[in-house]
Amino acid sequence: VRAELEAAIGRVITNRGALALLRADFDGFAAGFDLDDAERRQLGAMHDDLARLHRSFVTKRSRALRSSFPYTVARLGDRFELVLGRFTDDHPPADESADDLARFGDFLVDVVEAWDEPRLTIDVARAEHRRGCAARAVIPGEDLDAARATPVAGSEIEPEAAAVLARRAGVTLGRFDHDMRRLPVLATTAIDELPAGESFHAFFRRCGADFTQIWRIEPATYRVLAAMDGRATRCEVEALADGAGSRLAPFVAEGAVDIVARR
Amino acid sequence: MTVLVGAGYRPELRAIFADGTADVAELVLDRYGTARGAYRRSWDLAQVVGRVPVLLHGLSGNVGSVVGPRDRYVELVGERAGALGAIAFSDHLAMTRTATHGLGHLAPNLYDPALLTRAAGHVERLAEALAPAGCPLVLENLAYDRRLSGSQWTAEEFTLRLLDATAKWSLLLDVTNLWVNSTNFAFDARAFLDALPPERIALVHMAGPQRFGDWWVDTHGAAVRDEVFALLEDVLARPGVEPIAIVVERDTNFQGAEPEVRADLVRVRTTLAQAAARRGAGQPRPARSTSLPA
Repeated sequence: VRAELEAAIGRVITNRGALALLRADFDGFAAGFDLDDAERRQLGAMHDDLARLHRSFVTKRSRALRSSFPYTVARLGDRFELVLGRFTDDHPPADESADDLARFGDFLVDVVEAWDEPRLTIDVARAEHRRGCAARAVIPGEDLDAARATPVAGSEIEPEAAAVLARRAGVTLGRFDHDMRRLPVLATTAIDELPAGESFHAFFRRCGADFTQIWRIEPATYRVLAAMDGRATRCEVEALADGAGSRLAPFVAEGAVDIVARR
Repeated sequence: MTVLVGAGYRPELRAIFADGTADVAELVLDRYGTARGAYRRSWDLAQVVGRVPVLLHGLSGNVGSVVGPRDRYVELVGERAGALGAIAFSDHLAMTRTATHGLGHLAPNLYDPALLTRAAGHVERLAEALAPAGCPLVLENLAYDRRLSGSQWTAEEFTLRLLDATAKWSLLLDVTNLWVNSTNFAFDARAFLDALPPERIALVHMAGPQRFGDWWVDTHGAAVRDEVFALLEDVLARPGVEPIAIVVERDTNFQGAEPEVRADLVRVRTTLAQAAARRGAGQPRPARSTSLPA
């Protein structure tokens, strides 16, 4: 009962193409749903209402997606709206906003790579996508206490060879709003035991916690993170990121990560 | 009865929960729980769970549709309410998905007897899932941009009829949503309040709306307005209104938000105290309206 009419309503208020079809060819649009005569009449009567709701829904969804990528928006300018439009046209909203953001992040990174954007833009998009995924990551509840109970010694942390593309100074990251329990856990007191070599690993430590999580990161991500310590000059940031017009400093100020010390 | 005064938990407002300014935290289920035995943002959860009473708030209940909530969501609601020791679970009187996909936000629907029958069934399913946790089901009145032509009832009339149809739920009265709707659609908010059974108001939401042209939108992005506090005052003056909690919501515009939310919380407490004093002194409550919302 009425499920098909709701499906038609949902399609129009979330999809630009469906709204256009409803306006241009009502019969053609309605034929896509198993509606009885009364439901067809109801759908026709709410044409203007659905157009208004469409504006509201697309605006809210776009705002939510845009707000997770502020620095990619700043770098892409109006072209970000193109990406958003293509995404919302082709992907109906997911049931959970976290899934919608994750799908959009994948889509955005693919697009900026395909557009052959400057390396800095691609890195920023990836970093913002990764930050969002980390913040929304799903943590198996049963592992929470186990991870806390079994921290490993620093000397046991050895990056896989495949991950070591170059050796750089390690980075200790401070406050991070997400507790990545599925990742290796290191006793905080063991940080100094780590080999004094260089690696692409970030250490996430909650203030006052007696353990630290280690996140193996890509060189590109490392480069962006390392540039965001709030102490680097603009020139240093740009040199690290192989690009001009860096807007990375505020990225840290936003509070997703603070680099509190560099080893 | 003590009414808890708190806020929707956001990491940006963490200090409000840490220093005891908020004595209850509302956690958005969809942000923190996604599947059996798994959590998102467990660090945030640790800031409030076990420290202050928790209200669980859902966004995907889909009670206002014929399709209703997904089985997985109903399971999740029951499980998380128990696991987090929630003192109430709330969701919205809205359509949030169709049979095939999510809508991403809260939509109005065609309010008619067919929907009423289905919605009552969805309410009973959710209430049953929450029963083992001893957690009451509470549903929020919707802020809407448009009424769908062909509806037999307004959203407010639908809410009243659903309250009549099943006793398995109580109302989360979002005072801001009511003010926004009554302003945008020019009806008397107090007429809706007059028609509400006061004992069914279990929770109250307050948030700051913002104006875009001549249209108010419930953005949760500003301080609560004076007009909304006036409406809260009216609600609290009604005999029999004893909500479990009053929650201030802030979900956008976090620059400078913390002092605004703190000030709103102080003002809610002041309004509560004044209402209690008036009741104690036997002062008359505001005059009733005479018409239902059109």
